[in-house]
Amino acid sequence: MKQCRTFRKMKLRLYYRELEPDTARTLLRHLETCSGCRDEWRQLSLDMELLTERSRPDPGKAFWAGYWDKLAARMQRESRQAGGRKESRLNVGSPVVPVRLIQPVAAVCLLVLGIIIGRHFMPADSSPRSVDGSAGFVLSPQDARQQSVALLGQSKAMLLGFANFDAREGDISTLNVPLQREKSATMLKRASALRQQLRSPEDGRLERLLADLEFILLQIANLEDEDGNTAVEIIRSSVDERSILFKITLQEIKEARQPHDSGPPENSTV
Amino acid sequence: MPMEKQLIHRVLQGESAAFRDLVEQNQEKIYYLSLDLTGNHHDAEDLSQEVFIKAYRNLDQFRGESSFSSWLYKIAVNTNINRNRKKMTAVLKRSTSIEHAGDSWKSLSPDTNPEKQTDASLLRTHIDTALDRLSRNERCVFVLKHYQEFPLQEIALIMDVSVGTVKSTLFRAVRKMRKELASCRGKGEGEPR
Ligand SMILES: [Zn+2]
Repeated sequence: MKQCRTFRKMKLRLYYRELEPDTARTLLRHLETCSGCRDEWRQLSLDMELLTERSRPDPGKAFWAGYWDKLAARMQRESRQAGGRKESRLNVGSPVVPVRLIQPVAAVCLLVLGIIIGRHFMPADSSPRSVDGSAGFVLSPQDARQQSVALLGQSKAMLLGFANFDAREGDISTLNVPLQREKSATMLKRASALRQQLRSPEDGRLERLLADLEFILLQIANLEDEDGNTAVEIIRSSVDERSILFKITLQEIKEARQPHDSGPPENSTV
Repeated sequence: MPMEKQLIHRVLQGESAAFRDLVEQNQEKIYYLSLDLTGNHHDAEDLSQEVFIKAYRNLDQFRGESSFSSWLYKIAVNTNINRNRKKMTAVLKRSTSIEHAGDSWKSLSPDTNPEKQTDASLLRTHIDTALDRLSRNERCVFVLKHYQEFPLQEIALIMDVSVGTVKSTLFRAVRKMRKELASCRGKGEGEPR
């Protein structure tokens, strides 16, 4: 009963991975034996899935195309009302480059041309740099995305092993817990490092998928040799509840189909 | 982003037209954040414009310690929090109409529902209502964490509060939203703790 109270008090911190590893492990162990708390945990996961899965309508191409004009008009209007602030000098929707801008524009064009020539004709290290969690460098958005999808792909075999495990009759030794534990710890580090690198709004879904994977990897990394089938059953249900295998496959298809550096999606989903 | 720094420099040198590029680079991010914060297109457009106007007027105060977009996020959050609560009536009206829709919500089960489309939009309305019932700070933390995917430390920086405050606000927001979901489901299971 005391542990149930502790679980209820701490479950949100557990969900947000804000607990010390030892405390998290104790709570996850409690879930193995207490069906009431397990149900509560399932409900929490389900609610969070509902609350955080949200698609926003795109206001449409016309809105984006006219965004600047409307903003600039408002700035000028407000400026006139306030007696002429600096925004009165704004160039509202003018397609023509003013004479005083020709030199800077030409300079920028040359710079861009230089970059294009550099990218196409100079030898470059085309292999994406890897990230190991300790290195402090920043990956390009494309590298971060590619490496994240690759990591998700690598995790599939392990997740499948847990998803297909029969908790009632299965033999836990077939899972090779020590090996899975070690693999998860390595993947966990990598997933967490990669997630920090995904900063583009279009990568929201991928980032959330990595967060889901991290959550399951944390459970696997915390498995102990003496843990029984119930512990594996909890991991199996985490894999199920989050439909992570299905989502990884979708992400792989999406990544394979999409040309990189394409524009934002028609319907931005978070 | 070196181009961004160049653009800011050019605006500060008096080349106001460079501001257009800065806006176009950030308009989607700021619009969608505004949409998450306000919950409707009209207010989102208004708020996002206000953010850019404030950014333009105060560009000389941007020290480049964070990215320009983070600075815009900060302006958006503060502007939204400081806005007066003129929308309350509309929100209350919407909440009442949602309560009448409670029965349809009960039938929402993931696999067996034949009218998925209707339920999906109903679900969205319920979640919007739950969001509307949060305080501005709670909504802001929830949105930054779950819809904008910021780490808690960065949310603390954007909102100028401690990480501890962010956590307690986030947990409070989640409890309230789950309570709202539970009451919509009509389970009568009391407040999720
Ligand atoms: Zn319990």
